[in-house]
Amino acid sequence: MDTQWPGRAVIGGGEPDLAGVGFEADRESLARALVERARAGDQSAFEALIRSRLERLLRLAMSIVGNEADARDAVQESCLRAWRELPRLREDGRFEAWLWRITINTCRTTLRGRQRASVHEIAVDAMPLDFEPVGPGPAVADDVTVRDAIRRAFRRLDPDRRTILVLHYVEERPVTEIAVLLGVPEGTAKSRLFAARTALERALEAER
Amino acid sequence: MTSRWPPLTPDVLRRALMEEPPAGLADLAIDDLMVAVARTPQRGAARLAWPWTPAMPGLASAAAPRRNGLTLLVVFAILLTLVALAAVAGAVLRPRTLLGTPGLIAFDSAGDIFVADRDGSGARQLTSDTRSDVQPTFSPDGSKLAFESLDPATRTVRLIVMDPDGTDRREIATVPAVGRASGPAIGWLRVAWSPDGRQLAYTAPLAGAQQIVLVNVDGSDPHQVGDPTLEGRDASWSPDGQLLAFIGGRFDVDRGIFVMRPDGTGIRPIRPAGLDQWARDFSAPVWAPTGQRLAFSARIDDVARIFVADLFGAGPIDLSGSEVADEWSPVWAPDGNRLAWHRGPTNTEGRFVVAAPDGSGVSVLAPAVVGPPTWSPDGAMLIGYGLDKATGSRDRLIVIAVPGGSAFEIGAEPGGDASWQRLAP
Repeated sequence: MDTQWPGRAVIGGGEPDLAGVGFEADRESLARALVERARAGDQSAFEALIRSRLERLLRLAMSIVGNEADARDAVQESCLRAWRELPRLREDGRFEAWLWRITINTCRTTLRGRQRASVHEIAVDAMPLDFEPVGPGPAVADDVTVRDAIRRAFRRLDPDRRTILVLHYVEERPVTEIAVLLGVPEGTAKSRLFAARTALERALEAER
Repeated sequence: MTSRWPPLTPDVLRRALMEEPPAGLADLAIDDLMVAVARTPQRGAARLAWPWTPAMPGLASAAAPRRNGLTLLVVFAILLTLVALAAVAGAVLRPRTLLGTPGLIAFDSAGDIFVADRDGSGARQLTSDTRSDVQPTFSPDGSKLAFESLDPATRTVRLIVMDPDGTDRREIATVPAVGRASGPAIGWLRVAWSPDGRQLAYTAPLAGAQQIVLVNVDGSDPHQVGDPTLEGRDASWSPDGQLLAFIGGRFDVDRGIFVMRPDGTGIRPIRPAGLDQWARDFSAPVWAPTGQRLAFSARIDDVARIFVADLFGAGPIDLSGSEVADEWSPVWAPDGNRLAWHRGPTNTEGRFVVAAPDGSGVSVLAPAVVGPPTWSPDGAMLIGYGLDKATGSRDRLIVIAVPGGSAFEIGAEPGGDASWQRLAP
């Protein structure tokens, strides 16, 4: 793999993975350099920025919206927006949080799509968010049963609750980071996370 | 009662909620993305020319550094001009009001356009083709019906105008459909008739961004209006035809309500202090039939709320009665004395709320519906929609007497909103 260091010319197959080898500062500098080049219109720099984050973005989107097709759409739309708007990003160091926030908002918009006023998305093969009733089930639920029940309960939550649960439990982000991503005070993020978890537990109790 | 489920530890939740992308999906996605990137120009560094608070920390805006005395002076001059225009318009072009006689109800069902009589009887099909025809909208005098038609084969959406009996059909505009991995879709296309019925405003993707386009009813002279660097969609004409209100902004997190003249000049945001910088998910703005005031909903602190803004006075007023339930998509009654909106969580049935524009006299109507509501021209009824519990799709129109209960229902599978023909009183 070609390695791109700040100030050097060649972009290879993505940002080098320097995690865990003590090069955090260099990694950050590298990301800033890539952002700077991408905002100047360098598509290969943008590709390197996105490629190294795409797996996580897809996981985030799939976990929130619940199906692959919508998640792909949401991630593609978010990344395109990021590309289009990149010249307006004032602080290069905020690229990742900015990209995440665009993606979160796009996922929430996707989930709300049906009910927004005057918005008519007629997907050819939209995947229904089905939540079939569960039978009596075993006395002690096995892992698969538990997982499926949690997923069904999760799909009954509104987009905001889904989002905050995914950010905390799937992405394992602390409340402080979630507050920044959602643009709310830390206390608000904390209370929303609690409310979302409570809502999930209630929805799960209905899964009998 | 003991739960049958084990404790929801972080690990249990993580394993349950995480959806791993299939192997190879990221490679496919990056290839698709870079093809799209190659076709998508970046926005220039041009900055907004009016006061604008960037919603995103770190998102560049030259408005702030340039917000000097000169800018304020220019803005003040624009405001003065608009006030003067409004005064003249108010005196000379005071809109006619207001109540009309209910005529036909137009709606779409399973991708075709239908009309029914005012009592819901005699439904008849006006279109029948392989395209998805949605969102019929009567002209202000009730003589024409516009609708949108998605053609998956050509990946286009056509704007079509016809008579209310389905004859004299004319295609007046064609725009690209929204590309989705799952197929083409109609997106963000709301049609607004000018008050004189001579023009329509619609939303079209131009150069990668949503823009407002005006076209004559015969299909001639389609032209984009407004600042091409500012996205715009879901335009709404003021009753005197002198202003357009629309949802604008650079992208989702930075959206807001704007007004401009139909020639695209005089753009200014309607985003007073009551709406904080995190407001998002704006609904299409709707003008009061008597002009000057706009109603819209916006999500503040993650709860959708109803606002009425006076263009030339104080505001906005937050009409929402609930601190926790979403309230969205306000619509003015034809006489301008009431507003109706939807209260309830997204994707589930809620209730219609009716209130005076100052938030007083709130009635919550009994039938469970999804919205947005559509008023009858006499202000006596509202149309909402019922949901099929199994699929979550709309499966009927529910017509509600205001302030009474359900009046009648029309079986349909609407993808868009209904429209009620206004006949002369």
